[in-house]
Amino acid sequence: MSPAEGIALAFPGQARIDQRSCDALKAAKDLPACAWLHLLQMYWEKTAKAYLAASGTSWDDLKSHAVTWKFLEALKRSGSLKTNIGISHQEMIAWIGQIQDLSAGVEALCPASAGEGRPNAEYPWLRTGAAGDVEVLAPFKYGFDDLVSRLNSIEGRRFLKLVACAMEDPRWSRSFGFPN
Amino acid sequence: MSVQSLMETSVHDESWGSIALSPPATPRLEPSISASARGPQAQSHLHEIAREVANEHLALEPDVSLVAVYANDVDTQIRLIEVNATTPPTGAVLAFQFAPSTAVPVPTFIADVTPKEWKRIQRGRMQLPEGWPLEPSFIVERTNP
Repeated sequence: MSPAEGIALAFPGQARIDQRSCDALKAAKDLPACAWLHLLQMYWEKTAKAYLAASGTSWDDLKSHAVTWKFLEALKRSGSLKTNIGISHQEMIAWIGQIQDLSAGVEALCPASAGEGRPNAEYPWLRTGAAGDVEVLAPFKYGFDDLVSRLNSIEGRRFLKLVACAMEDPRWSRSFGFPN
Repeated sequence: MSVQSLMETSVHDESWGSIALSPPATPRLEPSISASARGPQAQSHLHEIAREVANEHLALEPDVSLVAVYANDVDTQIRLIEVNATTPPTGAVLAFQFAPSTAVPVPTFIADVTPKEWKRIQRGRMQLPEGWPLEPSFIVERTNP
């Protein structure tokens, strides 16, 4: 197996493990939301990168964080996955239009995408008040209530369905000779 | 019928809520290119399919102004660079690979770049993914900006 083939197989493989870990942490009711949200961000990013890795994208370019937005844009036009989800191309375009903002919210759970002083699912951050006072905030103390609520809505269910279909598209795996 | 008008009607889907409804898409392209069917005739057919796909993408996405199609003589893939004014700049050609479908019977690569990045590609200052031809086979531009 060439390094390129190894990379192309590694991304979807790791995405599936992250998804299972995410589901397990979500089911553990005594853990804060940041635990499973962190893994959701990671498996969504790796799923999008799997479609990049399959095209022979260089290792350095696979480190980019602006991948999920571009993936949704390309997916919208390609119409790929519509059969797996069971919708038409036009419905798929509408779906993606509805979930793009939520997807950006999930992407922003990563500190590099969130930006300095912004909530993220991994590291503590500092918030400076109007009077110049500094407050230390941590993911485990931050509820992410808005994001969790959106993920439980129709918009969120569509987003999670699309990510799951992207991760488990047997036609995509077969077309590159990958095991499902 | 425009994409916008197709989105205006909707139905209720029990699993996923209200979704836009449109007539089922009819495949317009013949799924007949195989890895063994190479040569000038297959190449011409592939270009025909690629042109259809490029035009469809321009119709679907108002922010895409140009689609450059890359193919060589032995290709069974469609590689597209799409110039999109709203895509985030990354300084790299990030090409997503999609599986063949009934409408497009070969793998399709789609890479969105900004207008500035497209200029850099044309000047040879931004690399294409490994294995891509250096020059596009043809370019489809929006005729009604």
